[in-house]
Amino acid sequence: MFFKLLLCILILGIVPEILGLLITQFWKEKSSILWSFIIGYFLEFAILQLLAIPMIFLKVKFTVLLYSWCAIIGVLLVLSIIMNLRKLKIKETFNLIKKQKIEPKPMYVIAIILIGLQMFIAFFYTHIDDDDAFFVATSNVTIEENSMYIISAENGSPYKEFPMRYVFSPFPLYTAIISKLIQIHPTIVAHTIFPPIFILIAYIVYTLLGIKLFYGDKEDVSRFLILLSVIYIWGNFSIYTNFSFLLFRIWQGKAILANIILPSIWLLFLKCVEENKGIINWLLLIITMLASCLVSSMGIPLAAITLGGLVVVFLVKDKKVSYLIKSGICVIPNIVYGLMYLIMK
Amino acid sequence: MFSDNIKIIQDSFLKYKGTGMYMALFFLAILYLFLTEKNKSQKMFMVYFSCLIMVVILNPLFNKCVDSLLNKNVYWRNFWLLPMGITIAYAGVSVIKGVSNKNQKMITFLLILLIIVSSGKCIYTAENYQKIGNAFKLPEEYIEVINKISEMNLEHKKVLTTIEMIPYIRQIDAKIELAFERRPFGDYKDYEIIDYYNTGSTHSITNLCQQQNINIIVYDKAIPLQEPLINYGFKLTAQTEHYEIYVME
Repeated sequence: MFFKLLLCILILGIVPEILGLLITQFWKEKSSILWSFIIGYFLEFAILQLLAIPMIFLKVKFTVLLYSWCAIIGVLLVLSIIMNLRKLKIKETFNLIKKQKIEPKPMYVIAIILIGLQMFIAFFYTHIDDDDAFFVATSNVTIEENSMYIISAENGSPYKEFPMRYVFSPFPLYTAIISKLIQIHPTIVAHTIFPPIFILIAYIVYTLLGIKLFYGDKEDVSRFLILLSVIYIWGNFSIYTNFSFLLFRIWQGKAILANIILPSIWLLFLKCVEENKGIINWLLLIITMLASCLVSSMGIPLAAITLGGLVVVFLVKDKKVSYLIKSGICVIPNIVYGLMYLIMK
Repeated sequence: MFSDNIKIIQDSFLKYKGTGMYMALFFLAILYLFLTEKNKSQKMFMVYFSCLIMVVILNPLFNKCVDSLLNKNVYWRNFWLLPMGITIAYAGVSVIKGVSNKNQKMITFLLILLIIVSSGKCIYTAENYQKIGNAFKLPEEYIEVINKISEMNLEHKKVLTTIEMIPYIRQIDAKIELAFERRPFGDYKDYEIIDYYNTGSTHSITNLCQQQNINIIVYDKAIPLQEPLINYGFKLTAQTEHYEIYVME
């Protein structure tokens, strides 16, 4: 049990953070720890999307995908450690932490409590969703049969043809990979491990959005997070809202799309147009667009539409054709996977 | 020409908006920011982008174009493109910032919270969430049934059971095949075996089981059987509080 807990902290906490540092080392962001965490996850999703699609169609064994993905992540981790170790000034960092005064202002505490409450309930309580008959069962089938979209998740018969609507967004394979790495059953990963983690990731994205929108003012950001938390908790006026999806079924790719990926695209695009930091922001946007394709088949068009909408609006404001060109490049994965789906379905 | 598309958009909007109060807050927030927001980028994102997305997704021509990519039953997911929560929260903080007195700031904050709470519906209810004593977060008795089947020393396991249990079996054990799959929209009319199961027609159930190579029946004790399954070559091997598990001999 303790060993599995350590594995969870390593695979779901430390690994994404170190991965993300590979990119954030080129920034001078104050919130680079938060950025690194979410970038690490998007990088994992993007790499999986690039590997999984050809392997699925070539009917490769799941273990090949698992080992290939781990190998690439491993290499990137080593690269990140080497590149960041040189810059790590341990003694100075330690002294800086010692000098920090912890001032638990009421607003910060309330925001943390509300976010913590959502994570707590997601971990200890359950909302059963029957869509897992496909999505979570796919993760389980992938591991047990060592195959990807060959055997039907829903009844166990071989598929007559690939389920095209789902094959281009194989998020259940990510659940299967994590399940193998942390040695926990995929259904437990989906229903118990992922929910608090993905809720945390969502609120990290909102925190970064808040920092962007309020220029880092901590009081304003805290109020923003409190209001957002209340909006989400009271957002069950319909089961079809992104609010309900975050708190009901965040382990499903479509909920991640609605509550993590789309807000990240908004955030990253705002960074791209407001900051003159060159290629890194746009690179992150491409990675996020690839991640959007992995998490849900809806992600392929919706991410493209959201980016397109932002480009149109900011093109009118700034009249920079470069937005169109750079965004056009970012949306290539969505176009490619969308076209492949339309041709092959 | 676009009547079907308009119907899809209308149904989707009605599903998404619920009582409409959050939508009203969203529109109010957009209006407030349109009138008061000085930062052009913020305004572009929360006001003009939101309006553009609304125009696009409520457009029947757009619905017609994306029909091949987006299933009509889930067109409501397009409303996720709207930064509703963020815009309402941002507008709320902007209103609070506009108040100079510290006490009045707090009152304004509490008022905004009250407006949001009274406009929405709390997700944390006993109807929506249960405390389940297993990490799979699936009904305990179903896990018990599935574990008993998993422990059986059979090369081939194909199970007939209730519609309610079907979604959970392969989440636990993917080696167990199912007589029928879950239909997301409840359309089971093609599966006559379900009708026979629900009416306890033993002869018809076992005939179809033989044809479809089903060797395990998880039978709901609440449904009376016309004849015992043991008369048709099935042996009762295990049971739980509400179910009997029969295996073909």
